[in-house]
Amino acid sequence: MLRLPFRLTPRSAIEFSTGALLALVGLIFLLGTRDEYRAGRAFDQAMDSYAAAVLEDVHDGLDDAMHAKPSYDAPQEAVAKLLVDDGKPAEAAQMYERLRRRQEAAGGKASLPVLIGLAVANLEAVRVGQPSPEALREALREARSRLEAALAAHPGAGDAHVNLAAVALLEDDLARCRAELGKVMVVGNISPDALSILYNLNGLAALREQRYEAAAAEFEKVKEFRADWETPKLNLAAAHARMLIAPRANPQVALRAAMSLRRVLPDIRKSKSPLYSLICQALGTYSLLIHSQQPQATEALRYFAEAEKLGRLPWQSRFNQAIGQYLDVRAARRRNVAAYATPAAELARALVYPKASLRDRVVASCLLGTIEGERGNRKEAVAHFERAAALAAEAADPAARSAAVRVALSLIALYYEAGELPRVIRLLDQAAEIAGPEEKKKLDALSKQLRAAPVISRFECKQEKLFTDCDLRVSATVLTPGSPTPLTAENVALTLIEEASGTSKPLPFQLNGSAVYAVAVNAPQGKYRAKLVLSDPLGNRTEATSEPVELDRDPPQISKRVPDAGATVASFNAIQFTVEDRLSDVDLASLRVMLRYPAGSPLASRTLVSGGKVQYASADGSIPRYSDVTTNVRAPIPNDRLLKGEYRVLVHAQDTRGKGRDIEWSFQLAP
Amino acid sequence: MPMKPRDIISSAIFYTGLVGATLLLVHLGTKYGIEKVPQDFTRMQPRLERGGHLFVNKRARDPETLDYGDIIMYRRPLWKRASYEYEFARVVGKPGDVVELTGSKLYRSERREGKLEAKQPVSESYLNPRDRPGDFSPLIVPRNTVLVLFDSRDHREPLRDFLVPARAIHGRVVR
Repeated sequence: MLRLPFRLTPRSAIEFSTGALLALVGLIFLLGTRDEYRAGRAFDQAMDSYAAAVLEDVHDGLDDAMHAKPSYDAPQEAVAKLLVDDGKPAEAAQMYERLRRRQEAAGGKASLPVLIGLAVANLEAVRVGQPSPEALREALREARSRLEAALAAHPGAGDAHVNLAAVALLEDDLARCRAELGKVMVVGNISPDALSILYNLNGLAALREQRYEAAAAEFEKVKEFRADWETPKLNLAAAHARMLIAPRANPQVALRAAMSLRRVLPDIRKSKSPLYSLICQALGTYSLLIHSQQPQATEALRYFAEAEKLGRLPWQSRFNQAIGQYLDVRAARRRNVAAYATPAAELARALVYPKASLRDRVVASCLLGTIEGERGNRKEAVAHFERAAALAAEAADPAARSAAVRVALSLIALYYEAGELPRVIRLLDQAAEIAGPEEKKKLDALSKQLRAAPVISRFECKQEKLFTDCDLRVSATVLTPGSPTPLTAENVALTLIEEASGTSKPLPFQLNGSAVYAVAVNAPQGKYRAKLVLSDPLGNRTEATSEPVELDRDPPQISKRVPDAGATVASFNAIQFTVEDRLSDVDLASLRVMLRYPAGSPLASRTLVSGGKVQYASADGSIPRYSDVTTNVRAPIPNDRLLKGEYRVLVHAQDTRGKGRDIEWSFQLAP
Repeated sequence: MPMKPRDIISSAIFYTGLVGATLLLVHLGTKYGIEKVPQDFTRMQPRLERGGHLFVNKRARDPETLDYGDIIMYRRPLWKRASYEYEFARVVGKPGDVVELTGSKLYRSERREGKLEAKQPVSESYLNPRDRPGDFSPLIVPRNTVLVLFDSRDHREPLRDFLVPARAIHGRVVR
């Protein structure tokens, strides 16, 4: 055996005794702290289980801890807290009270968890009994004073501020609640358990301040700390529900909220929370109006029906339900106008319901106007829309401005159909003043159409052989784009103007659709123009004048004859006259002049002008032979011996249009 | 020479004392000292490689004594189902601090002597720039707790996973 240099001597015996004594003291010390160690370890395990929501292990751990060290307060405080969570606040309050007395008896002041727990348990004990408002106010006052006392005893305790914020919220004192939540951030001293309550309160305060997105973010955060806690899930659903129906909500945010609500709806239904009805109403409203590009009336009605199962809907939801019913009827393939009766009754109630907002009244009036319009009651429809216009004019928000434009458009449509065009124009001008850019485009297009001048096209006046050779046919195509009513004869005025005399007379016409047709039968000779004046009911006017038409009925005329018809002359050496045509030129190339000598003359006749050329030169030489004649004809006669007697002149003249005539006259030569 | 009874007794006392002292030292070392532990946790790569061993200072358990950026070893929360018992993460918030992650950037308002300092961005050179963590709004770190984050932030876990109570902390990673 290994021998060591250790021998039991008087000195080593004293050292051994000293060591043994110290070991004994250590052993006693270890044994003395064993229970505390076990209690602490059991309590830690219980807290780990509590964090993991394994409640059975929590109770086991706390029991072990209390059994290991009955004087250990922490597990007893945890047990009391669990009692509050289990809905036994009265028992919890008794337990906290016992702990408070013991701690005060032992050390002078109670711990912070005990003081806070006592305030909370007492308040909850009152709240579970469904107290009167006065009793609740008193309980809240007491809780607040207890918490303030706890704060005085333990300054800088964030948990006390969190609970004071909760009390302030229950007292509807939002400002105080916010102040207390702010103090939590300042002091920073908060327990992990209170963290979820802090953010839940932050969310509730934001919810009351109508900052729904911020509230939802806070509730989402709470869910991250307490996955098992139903309250933040319900609060989050409430925030999402309000987000859906909030005016001016971000469409994308609302869409995300709606998707989230649809996802959690079955769970909330199972939990039988009263929130289920609210969410159904919010989803119904969202499906209908708020941010959906296309209202889904059927889905909305399904949600409203689901909410209705839990009790009578509040007025606003009944109103929205009526809108859904209206849209459902409208969307039906075979529209049944009688089915409008139910929504119409509810919408009509909105007009007299005192809590109905201006916006609701505008919507109700518009829908009632549309319903009456579909029923064919134009007068009632106009009345509803006029009321909507008046209400929209009162409202100050931008949505009402947009509504006012839509109402104006509906009224314009009704007045337009009725042909009340001055009202249409007035409304267009009014709507243009308040319309946004997109609406302005529509209004401008409508205004442009209404103010468009009547159009006259293919307007012509022609001479045409219809019944006689001298008929005038007038035709045109006319169009009044701004007029709501078909064109009538009253809108058309057709006159025939004779230019030479300056006279005009109405020309009877036929109107066949957009075609105007008129005939002037056997019109006198003249230069004619047709004038067409077209007007529409809006007062727009267009006129057009046709190209001139010359109606040449007469052949050339002869005047200034020398010698004149029936005259007796002593001598003559030429035949003179003037040939003229009123509308056309004289065809001089076809002019022929013949002089017939009296009986007994060597020659029967002489052709003085043929083919437009004189056949004989004048005696003075001023007119050479075969020179061209002018309209002032001077036809020299040859140097024949002229006997006394009757001479006859035969003239054939025609105009350039081929109308000719033969003129004959006689005179006496008596030298 | 046969041993005398006195020698036998003295030798027995000596060896018993020696073994006892050794066991006590080993126990104290593993409980409160530095221990070499296997690592099967991967969310701290590349700073901590999987399969390696770490030395952990088990005396550094108090949240107040830990420093920002320290990597701590802590007991996996009970609600997380995983094969490993311990996790490693970096301390980014100490009790009373207000921390937020906005646009993948960490901001912290530190609490010094009870007063909250102004919000400052935290420089984190160890992050993988490709990671896109889920943001969280300002979060106050409760007492006796540290807020930790993994170096690898490619996916988001509930915030409660990152609030480590003092009782779950095993120590600070030394190497």
